[in-house]
Parts: sequence; C-alpha cells; structure tokens
Amino acid sequence: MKPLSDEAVARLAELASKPEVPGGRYEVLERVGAGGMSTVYRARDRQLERDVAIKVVRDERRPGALAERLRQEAHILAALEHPSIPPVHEIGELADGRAYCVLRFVRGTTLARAELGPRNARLRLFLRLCEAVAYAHGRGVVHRDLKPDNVMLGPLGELYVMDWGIAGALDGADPGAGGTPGFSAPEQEAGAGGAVDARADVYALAGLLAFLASGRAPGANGALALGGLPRPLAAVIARGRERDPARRQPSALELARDVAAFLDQEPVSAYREGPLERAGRFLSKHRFVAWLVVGYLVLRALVFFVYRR
Amino acid sequence: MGSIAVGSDTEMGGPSPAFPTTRPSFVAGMGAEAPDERARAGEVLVRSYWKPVYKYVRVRFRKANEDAKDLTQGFFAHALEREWLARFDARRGRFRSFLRLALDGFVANAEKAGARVKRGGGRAPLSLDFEAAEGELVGLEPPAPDSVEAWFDAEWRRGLLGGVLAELDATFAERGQDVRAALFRRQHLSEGEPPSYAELAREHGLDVTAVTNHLAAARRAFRELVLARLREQTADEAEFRAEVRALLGSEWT
Repeated sequence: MKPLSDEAVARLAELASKPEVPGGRYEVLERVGAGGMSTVYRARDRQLERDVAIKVVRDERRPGALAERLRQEAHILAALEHPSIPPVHEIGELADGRAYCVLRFVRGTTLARAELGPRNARLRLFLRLCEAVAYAHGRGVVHRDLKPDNVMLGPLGELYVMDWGIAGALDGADPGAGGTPGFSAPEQEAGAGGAVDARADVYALAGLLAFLASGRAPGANGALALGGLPRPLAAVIARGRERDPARRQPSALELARDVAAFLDQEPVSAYREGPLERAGRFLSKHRFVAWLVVGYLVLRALVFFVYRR
Repeated sequence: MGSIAVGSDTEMGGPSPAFPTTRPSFVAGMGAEAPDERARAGEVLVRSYWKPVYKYVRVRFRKANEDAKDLTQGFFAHALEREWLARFDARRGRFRSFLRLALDGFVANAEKAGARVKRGGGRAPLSLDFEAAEGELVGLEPPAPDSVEAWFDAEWRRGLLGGVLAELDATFAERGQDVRAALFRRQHLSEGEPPSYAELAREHGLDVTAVTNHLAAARRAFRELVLARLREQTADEAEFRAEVRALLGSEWT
C-alpha cells in the first residue's frame, strides 16, 4: 500500500481531531473559535437541517473540572430565555469522553471587529446589551467575562451575549479565576471568593461603553482613554469603573438609564453640570424652539429698525 | 484482526458504533502475569512500532537494509524476551520516547560489539513486510540531530494512521461496505480540492443523501479506530491524552 504523504497525514489528523457526537445527528464542518477552556465548531444538524455550534471542552489537564464548568454553562443558558442570549440545545459526552454542548449557531461578527457606525448608534447598541445583562442579573446570573469579543452582532442587527463559560450565580461563591484583564472588575481579579455580584458586570459594561464611545478598549491594567468624549458620558463611564463596587451604578439598568439620558440630552446621575452646560444642553436639545426664539427676536429687531426710520 | 460485532444500520449516519473503542493498553500488558496477555501485548507492540523502528535504523543510523532488518528483528526479540519494556514508568515520560532511547542504546551496543546481530536473537524471526517499509523510504530525509524525536514521532503517526486506514478498509470489506471505504478515501485522501458530495454521488451511482450517510459513518469509524489504537498504545489516561494531543494537535488541548 502506498505510504501516506505528509499532507495526507495532516489531513487525517485534522479529521480525527474533529469532535464526534454520538448518534450521528451532527456533522462537524469547521472550527470557528477557541477560548481558554473550549473549542467551538460549526456543525450541521442533519435532523433539523440547520447549522449549530458545538462547544467542546479543550483543556485536557483538568477535564473533570472543565466538563463540570461546561455543564454548568449549559444549565445557566437553559435557564436564560432571552433573544440576546443563544439557547442551548443539548449537552453530552463525545465518543472520546470530552464534554460538549450544542448551541444556536450565531452568524455575524464580534463587537471587537464590527463596523459600528456613528457614536449614538453604538450607544443604542450598548443599551440593548445592558438589557440582556440586566435580564441575566434578574435571573440570578452574573456573566463575569463581558468584553467586545463576547458580544456578537448578526447581519440584521441582532445582538448576542456569548460565552457564559465562567458565569456564576449571583448568590453563589465565586466560581474561580477567569475574566479578561482590563474588563474584569478589581474584586473579581482579586479572587475575593463569593464577593462578585452584578456590579462586577457593571464594571465590565462600563469598559465596553468606553470601547463603544471612543473606539479604544481599556488597557490591561484597566486604564481608559476618554479624551474627546463629552464630559457627562465620560463621567458615566468613570462611575461604572470605580474600584469600589459601592460607588458604581448599582445595576446594568442604572448604567443604561444614564446612557439613555445622555442620548436624550437629559442630565445624567453621574455628572453634576454647571449653569452654562445646562443652558448649552437645553439649547442643543430644544434646537427648534431656540431657532424660533432667535428668529422671532431677529424679526422684532428688523421691525424696530424699520419703524424707527 | 479480531472479530468485530456488526450493529444494525441506523437510518442516519450508517451503522451504530461497532468498532472496538476500548482496547487494553499493550504497555500495561507487557508486565502482565498471564502469558497470553503478554503475547497479545507483544503482538501489538510489534505491529505498532516495527515500521518506524526499521525506518529509523535505516535513515538515522544509515544502515544497509539487511543490517536494518537484523537490528529490527533483534531489537523486538530483545524487548519481548527480556520483558524490559515492563520497566517503562509512565510517570517519567512517553512510551514512544522510552522506546526510541532503548533503540538508540540497542543499536549502539550492537555497533560496539562489532558483530552482526543474529536475526531474531535466536528465536523465530517475526513476519514483517520489510519490502513495503523499504518502499516508504524513498524520498525520506534523515532527521536533523536536533529533531530526531520529532522525526520518529512523525513516522509513528504515519504508521498509526496508515494502520487505521487499512483496518477501516478491511472492516468495511468484511461488512460488504467497500463503497464506504472508497468514498472516505476519495473525499479525504484525494490530492487537491476534495470532490463535492454531488460528484461523489455521480461517481458511485448513489444519491447525495446516501453519500452523506456513508461518509458520516466512515468518519465516525475512523475516529473511533484512531482513539482505540491510541488507547492500545498508551499506558494510562494521562499518556493517552498526551498522545491524543500529540497526534491531533492543538484542537485537543
């Protein structure tokens, strides 16, 4: 028999590396992403003739712990029914013993890579993100790894919060290390154990807000570059990024309210404005009325000068 | 090849898993008390490693083919008779590294003795297809001094996957499913771009659904056999996982 060429060996090794879900329902098509704990594949559900995502535990050094984490993620997703949170279809064990779960396959691109349009459009996107996160908080779940790479935008503008791999219960103990430097809250990075609550997600959301508003993600040490942003918006971000959780907006909805107020040119809770700023905001918000008043005054002046002659 | 239970064909994906996915480790078997278990372990050892060993001796030590045959036979005879492979300790490294270092030592000792190694070490020589191995040496470059281990690994990988393909062919032939093996080879081993399912369907007079089902079943069987052979060739779970990672790359890590 002809020996296998190097290319054939590489192809077969790649083929063998693809996960094999028992039962033959899913045909794995391609690898679409990988994180610290898992690899994600696009697969074809041959029964329902649709694409799905199959997430497989990746690190073989602690397979038991990670399999448990994946199962936990699947249970969390199953409890979260929200249009911006991809549903889980199935969990199980591959032929080789690795844990897997089958999820909705989300088409699109991550927030980190998407073309996002003007700033106000980006801020409105942020409001939708806050709604999804607030919903999870309402169901007792904290995400713990919110960042531009974990938010997907679909072709029709759908928004999905992805990768709930290190999510945990609000009232439970800290599930352990995780998160992303620059986005993770200080109390999460310190591994306070049990001390992480919804305000850790508020911290990460404020980092996302900075990214969306300025186009610059926080540095790995958490530093922000907010130069050029309107002061009220910068103040909203700065409050969300307070080291002390008690000084942040208490919830994702509160943070969203501040951003919505900024978009509506209303005062924001995080910023005390001066009289001139208030007047400027008023004029900016009520531009039509201001122009009417100006027009009226100009007209009155003209009439005054005409009749004085 | 041992007998293989044939499951009933399912509607989707072909037959239900029928390949032996759990095979005892030959490494563990080398130290077993029962002679038949030791014999089986020896058989798997030879089947898994004789070709990389022969090629290694030929290319790394630049031995003439007759000398390489003698050294290969002698090495396995030595390994099986003395049972020194039972001394392998999985905590101290991979079995394959242990084997290669043992081979280096064996060849060095043989050279030092200055005498030709008696083929088979006095026992009946193993029946090995050296002509086939010789054919595979064409165009094979000797390993650089700093990549000897990688070279040996690559040859082992080639041998393992080649063995899996041969077992796949034989099993499908046994079941009267040669078309499955043919489709698998055409789809995954053709040079250049793989053919579309529609092209495969035309070539084999099937419909596309049948091609899809055959290929899904063949891929599943292929993966099961790869994992089964890796289980067979490793000492414990940790080494199995390390070998899976070495063979299948970062996808598994």
